[in-house]
Amino acid sequence: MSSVFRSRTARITLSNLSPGPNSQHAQKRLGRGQGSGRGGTSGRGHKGQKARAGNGKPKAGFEGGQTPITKRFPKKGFVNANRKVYAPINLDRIQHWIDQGRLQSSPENPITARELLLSGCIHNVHDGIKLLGDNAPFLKTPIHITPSRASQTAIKAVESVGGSVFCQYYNPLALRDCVKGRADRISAAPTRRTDILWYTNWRNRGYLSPEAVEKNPKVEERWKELSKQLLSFKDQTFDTKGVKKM
Amino acid sequence: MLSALRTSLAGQSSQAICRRRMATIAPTLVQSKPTISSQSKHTTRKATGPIKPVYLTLSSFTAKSNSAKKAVALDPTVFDHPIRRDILHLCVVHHLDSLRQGTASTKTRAEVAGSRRKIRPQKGSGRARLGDRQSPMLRGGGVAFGPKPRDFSTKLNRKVIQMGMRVALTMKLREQRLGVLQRINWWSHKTATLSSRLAGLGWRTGTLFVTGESEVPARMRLASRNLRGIECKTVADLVVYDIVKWRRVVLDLAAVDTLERALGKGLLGIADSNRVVSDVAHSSVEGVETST
Repeated sequence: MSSVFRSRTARITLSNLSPGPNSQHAQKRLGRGQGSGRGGTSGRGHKGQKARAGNGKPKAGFEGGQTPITKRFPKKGFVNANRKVYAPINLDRIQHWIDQGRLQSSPENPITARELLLSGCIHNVHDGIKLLGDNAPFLKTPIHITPSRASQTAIKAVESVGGSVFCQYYNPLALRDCVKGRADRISAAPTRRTDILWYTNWRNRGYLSPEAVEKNPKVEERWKELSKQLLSFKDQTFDTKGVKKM
Repeated sequence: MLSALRTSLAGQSSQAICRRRMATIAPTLVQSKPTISSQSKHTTRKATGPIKPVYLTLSSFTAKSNSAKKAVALDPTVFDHPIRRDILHLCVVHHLDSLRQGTASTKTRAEVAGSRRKIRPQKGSGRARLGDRQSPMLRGGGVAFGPKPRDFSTKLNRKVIQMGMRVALTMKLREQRLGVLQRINWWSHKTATLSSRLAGLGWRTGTLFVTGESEVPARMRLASRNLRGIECKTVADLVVYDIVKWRRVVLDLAAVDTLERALGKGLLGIADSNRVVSDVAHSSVEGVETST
């Protein structure tokens, strides 16, 4: 009876090693005689297209002439090459990370994509970070963060506790430099109209808005000039001198 | 009922240092940090208390057999790991696969020398239809699906190999086939001197010496290399296969340190200062001197 309960007492040598039960499955060997159960026609039955060498199908997805499922429905839409997927990060997660001591922020060292990735708060930066406001009441510590985007709820919650949010434009190269910690290159300014309008808007806490350029402790000199130039269209009027009125 | 049997077995062997089980009944000389299990939320498992080191006799080439024995404190996460025979099997098979030369080669019908000429007309000869002379149907033709030189090495997850090392070292310790020396060094380059000393220790055949230094010391290497049944290796070249294959594995303190650093969790914090201890109950390695 004791042999049932004891672990095997024979010494482990090269001669008594075996794989775990059911960890290995015997190979299916076709065409090796009657006893194997897969001899003769090797599991293909008798004659017909499927019994022949090669694929056995005219082409992938062919349904014998019936309209295939891939042709029954119309094509729809297009795939946007400029699409941006932002990695969402909620306020409750950030607070939890700060409580654990895995994340710190100050106005001089704001939380960027790099800190979030390295601390494990985010697993993949995708095209940038978007700060979202789930469970905003849990946020107690003032945080200083520079995401690519932020929701209105998140902005309100962060600022009510005394923190700051400045949304910065990161193109793929700039994001890579941020994550790798490279500071020798200049991050490019936004060029697309939609991006320019977004990042010069204080409502979004865009880093190129006049208010942000004043308040941001980590502002670069060129952002001040950029902000002025990118917003100059607001004061520009068309040159109406010498144009005939229709 | 199973637990009752286990506790009764444990009660029997706690009287003396049982040769079958490792004796870990010594009071903890090493202050260990509380394990994570004692702080975990899994309340269904009985708490086993802080982890304690496993003690093994410190062997010596030079010490007298009746002198006081010292013990070596070993990390239980490395030397007292649950046994997993299937993991050992995986590691051994992976190693043997990597050793395969993979040079078996045959010629296909395209590679066999010969003309492409059709041997006999398609119709009219009364015999089977045939193309060229290199068909696998014919004598002297190519081989259909024959072996070709290929790489038989496989991938095995790094952590599986690491667990295999821990299981193998544990197994050797439990079978009392693991020894630890202060340093694997020999005073002479003459093989006969080493051979006679090993015979005296009962280690003459089937012993693998593993040193933690970057090279096996020169005199030890010279003295041992002509001895059949003895091998000296560095810990960097140690594989699971070696530990399973060799009857006895003798480490030195540097090798123990390297292995614990690579495979252990560092929870006990055994440093050089508290590695060797005295007046502690410990298990021993088999040999002539310890067979009392």
